[in-house]
Amino acid sequence: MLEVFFESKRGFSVRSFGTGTHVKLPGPAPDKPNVYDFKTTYDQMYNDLLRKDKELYTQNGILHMLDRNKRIKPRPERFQNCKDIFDLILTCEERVYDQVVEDLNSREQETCQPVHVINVDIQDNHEEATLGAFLICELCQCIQHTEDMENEIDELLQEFEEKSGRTFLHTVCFY
Amino acid sequence: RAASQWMVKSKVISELQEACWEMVSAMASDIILLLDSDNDGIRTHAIKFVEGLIITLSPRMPDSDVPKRHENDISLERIPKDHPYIKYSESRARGWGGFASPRRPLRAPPVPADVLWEEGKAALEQLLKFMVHPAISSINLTAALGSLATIARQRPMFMAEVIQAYETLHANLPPTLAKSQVSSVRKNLKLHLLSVLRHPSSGDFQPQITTLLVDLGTQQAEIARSMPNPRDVRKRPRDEPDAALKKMKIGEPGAAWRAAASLPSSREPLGRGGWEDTSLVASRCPPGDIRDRGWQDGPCWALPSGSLGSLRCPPEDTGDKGWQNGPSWGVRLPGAVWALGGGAAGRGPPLRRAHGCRRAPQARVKILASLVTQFEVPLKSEVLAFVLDDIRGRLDLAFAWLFQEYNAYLSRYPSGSLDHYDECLIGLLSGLQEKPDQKDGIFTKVVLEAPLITESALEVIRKYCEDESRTYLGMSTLRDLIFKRPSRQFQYLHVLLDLSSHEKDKVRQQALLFIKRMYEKDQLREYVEKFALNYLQLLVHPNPPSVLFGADKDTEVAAPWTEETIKQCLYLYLALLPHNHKLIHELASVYTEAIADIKRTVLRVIEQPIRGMGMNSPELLLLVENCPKGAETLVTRCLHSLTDKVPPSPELVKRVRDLYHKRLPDVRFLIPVLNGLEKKEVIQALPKLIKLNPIVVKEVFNRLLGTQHGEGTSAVSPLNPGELLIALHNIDSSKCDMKSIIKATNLCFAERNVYTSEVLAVVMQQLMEQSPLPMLLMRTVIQSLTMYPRLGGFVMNILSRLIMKQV
Repeated sequence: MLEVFFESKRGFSVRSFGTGTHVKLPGPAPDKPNVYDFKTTYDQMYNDLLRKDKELYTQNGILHMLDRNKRIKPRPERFQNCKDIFDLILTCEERVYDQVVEDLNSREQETCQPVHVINVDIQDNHEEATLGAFLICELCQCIQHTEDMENEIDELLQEFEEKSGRTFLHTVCFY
Repeated sequence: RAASQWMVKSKVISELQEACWEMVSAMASDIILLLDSDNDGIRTHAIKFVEGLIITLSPRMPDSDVPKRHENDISLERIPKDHPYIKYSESRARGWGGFASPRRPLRAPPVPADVLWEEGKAALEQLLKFMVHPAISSINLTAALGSLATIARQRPMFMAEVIQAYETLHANLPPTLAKSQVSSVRKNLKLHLLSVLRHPSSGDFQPQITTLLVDLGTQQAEIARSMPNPRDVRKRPRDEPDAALKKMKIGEPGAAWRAAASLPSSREPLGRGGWEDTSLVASRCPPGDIRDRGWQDGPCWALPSGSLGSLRCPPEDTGDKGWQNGPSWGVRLPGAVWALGGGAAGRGPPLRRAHGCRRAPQARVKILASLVTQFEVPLKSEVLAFVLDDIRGRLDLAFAWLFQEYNAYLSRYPSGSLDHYDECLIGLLSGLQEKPDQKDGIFTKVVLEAPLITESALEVIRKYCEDESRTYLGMSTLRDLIFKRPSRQFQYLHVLLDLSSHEKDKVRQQALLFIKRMYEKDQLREYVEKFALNYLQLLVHPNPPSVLFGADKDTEVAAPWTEETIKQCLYLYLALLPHNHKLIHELASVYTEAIADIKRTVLRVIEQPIRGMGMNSPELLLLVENCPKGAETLVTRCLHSLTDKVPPSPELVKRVRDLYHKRLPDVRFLIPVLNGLEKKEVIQALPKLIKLNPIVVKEVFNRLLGTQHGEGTSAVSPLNPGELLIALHNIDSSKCDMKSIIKATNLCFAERNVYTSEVLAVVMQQLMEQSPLPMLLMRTVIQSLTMYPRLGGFVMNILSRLIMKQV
């Protein structure tokens, strides 16, 4: 969701990842998700769900989401398997935040280059995702406009917290 | 780092190198100063630099955790002691301000290498000092926490300082942090603590680390997962020798330790279950640790309190051969606890100590539970008493034990028996029952969380329900069981249903309340109904069947029905009747076959429920319509109950009328619906009515005259009083004897407020006009005059008219 938003509108260089062991999409009941491993392409997922219950997955917007996703990249990526360096990592759920931080800390330090990890709790439904996306976008813009991110990010986050009424988690890890 | 490396490699130091070294040293000191920078980012980088510096300028130790990439990096131990430039000679302590720099000119005195060591240590000091700054930013703090963890892992000699710093920080977070920053920092702290915990050399500090982790909300399982593998445990050497331990005679001396040292990986289950998540680290405990003097002589076999709590045991007491021979951990430990129980005066203290405080670590509880399961009754009853003593605080132990017993049963399935589990469960439940009032629903909790409810446990629950002070609690537990455990719900339901005919009022009523709610659930409805009807059906027997009497009652089967026993069969049925009117027909059929006593009782108890059903109930109307043979009195009673206070509905009247005319010309049927009949019908029925029992006749008249409740004409009557009296006069003597008619008229006369002088006057007037004159006319005239002397004039008038008619 964020990827689409950013790439299309604001010109940030963004990539998105999952952190679990599998990709989980909602199924017919909360305890029956559709599970795929990270090698499955969005296209394959799309066709699978289409076959299973076209009406359900159209109605809850999952097919639309997959369709959109496939235009950005062929398959989901797993964060832990990615060796790239980032300046800022944003997560939308505390659990994911924990996984990211744990993964980064378990890697051996090489360059000591810092990366900031920020978590904003966003509920996993379409409405919240939209609102959250706007918030994150705004945050990123502000960060981009700082002259010295490392120095100013702390204060910036405090301001954002007050303005939006949400709490963020923030830490720094080193590559 | 690079500079040091370079320096070391060369045997001969060139001027260039010197210069470089100087510059690099200067740079290093500058950077360290930058810890004070205004710029947060710069500070963060400075922290990382200091971390690297500390690691470089300190020697590697055997237990250092070295990242693979840095295998070949320089660190202090690699700087040869006889390096021309950098020397490990006597320290010329330099104040902090920078690295020692050689004086010019050429070949200045070399830098003592252990000054470097001092510099390294000093850098750490600086870092630590930085961390306690009251206004440190959250990012700096996070970075510093991470650096400390890295330092601790790579240079374990600093472990103590690192842990101290963590503790200090945890207790004194900078007040300048916002709430979310506090959460972030705490999370970070937890992460790093866990990673430090994983390091083998953290052993000494495990208690502190664990305490901190628990404070940060870490789950025991997670802590346990991060414990180092026991094989890697290398404790730092202690100062006091374990003299006491050397006297150990556990079979083969030192075998326990050896065995412990070669423990299998922590994840294997040992013995019967429950060990999966605990890693056991055996360590010696110095004699100072022994709290209970009584044990002091025996060898002490302690597990570090951080992981498992201490179980102490004097092996002399133990007769368990397992000590001597058993190589496995599982056997030794039971021996320990056995001795724990063994000769000691009371197992209470050791148990308490073993269980620890209220929030005993899960691991301890698990072990205790497993042990108890393996043991025989005496220990079990001790544990039971212990648990019941403070049930709230020791509930976790109770549950662990219960589940363990169940596990044991399952693992032996299908050959094992449930006896132990059963005993445990009953023990707990009965114990809870005997305790005075509990408001916190522990009984319910145990029942609902027990894996299986055995027959005997169900009995205990039943007894609980029968206790008047706990009926509600017991029954709501039963209700929960019924709803939450569908596989045996009928079994539980049965108990509740049984209680619905209990002799104690309160128990019965409560049960009925609950059952009514069950009745509303589709899947239970049928069962409940059947049960009720079964009981109802018992009434067809001439004598009460033995099933009515509990197993503990010693009554002869041939005893006659009593009010009590009859009612017992009816309670449930009557409770359900208002919810399902169809059931009335069952009653009718039972009624017809029942003996007179039962019929009487039924008639008595049926009144309320019938009223509850109401005149408009289609089933009731159907009953009246069909009026099964033999159930006439029942129907009559129903009719009476229905119309006692309210006028009969046309529907009801219709059916009664039909009944009367078509099938059962018993005039008594008409009585309840008298006021719904038409005038001529009443008049037609009058002769028969007045021949009835005088009380009944009175009632009839009451209804007709509206004097039922002494209020006068409140009900609508087809006849007004005058018409009634007149009708009486006109009754054909062939249909009814004079005496009855006279009695009937007397009843009228008795109602002075209805039969006023006006009414009587009108009556007389009308009667007089009739021809032939009614027989009773004169009598009536005389009566009226007697009642109302003022009618004298009127009477005279009448009499004269009569004379003229030549009577």
